[in-house]
Amino acid sequence: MSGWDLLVQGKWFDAALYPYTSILGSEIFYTILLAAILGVIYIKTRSLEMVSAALILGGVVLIPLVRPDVRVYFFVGIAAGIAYALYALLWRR
Amino acid sequence: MRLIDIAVFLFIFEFVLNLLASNFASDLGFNRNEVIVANPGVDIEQETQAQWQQVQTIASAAILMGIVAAAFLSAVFGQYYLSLLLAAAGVVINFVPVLRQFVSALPMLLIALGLPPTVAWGFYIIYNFLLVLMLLLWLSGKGGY
Repeated sequence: MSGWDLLVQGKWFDAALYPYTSILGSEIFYTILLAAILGVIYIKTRSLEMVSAALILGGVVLIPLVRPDVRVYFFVGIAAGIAYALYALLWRR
Repeated sequence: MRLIDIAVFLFIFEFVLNLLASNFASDLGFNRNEVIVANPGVDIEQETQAQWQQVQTIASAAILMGIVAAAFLSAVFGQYYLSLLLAAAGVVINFVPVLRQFVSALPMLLIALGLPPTVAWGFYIIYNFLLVLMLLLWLSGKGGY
C-alpha cells in the first residue's frame, strides 16, 4: 500500500510517516523518533526525571506501532524509565 | 555516585522489569512459554516442567546451604545469626513458587532480546551478584568512596 492510498483512506498520520517508514522500516524510524524526543527534552530541561517520564509515555505510545518481536526493546525502555522515576523519587538526594 | 546508589537503581530496575514482565509480557506478544523454548521439537510443557524442577532443586540446595552456614555462624557468633538466617530461610521457602516466576523474568527477557540462554542466565547471575555485593559493602560501611 502506497502513501497515496493511505491518504485516500483518510489515514493522514500514517500517510505523513510513509516516506520515512517505507525507507527505514517502522522500527528504526520509531526508535530514531523516540531518541530524538528524549534528546530534545534533555537539551531543553537538563532533567533526567523529565526524560524518564518521556521514555515511559513515548514507549507506551509507540509499542502498538512496532512489530511484536521489536516490542521487547521498547518494553525494557519503559521499565528503565519507571525504574529511574522511582529511584529519583525514593532514593536520590 | 556511591556503590549503594547503583545497587538501589539495579534493584528497582529488576523489580520493575519483573513486575511488568510477569503482568504484561503475554499481552505484548513475548510471553514466557514462547521464550522459554530454546530447543525446537521438545514439548513445551515438558521443558517448562524440567526447568522449574531444576530451579526448585537449586533453590532447595541454596536453602540447605544457608541452614548449614547458619549453623556454622551460630557456632562462631552465637544464636543471633542462626535465628536471623532461619527466619530468612523461612520467608524464602514460603515464597519459592512466587519467587521462581518473578526471578526468571529478567533472563527470559534477555532471551527474548536475542541472547543465547546461557549468556542470559550468566548475565543475570553476574547482575545479582553485583547487587548483593554492593548491598553487603554498604552494610559493612565500605560502600562509599
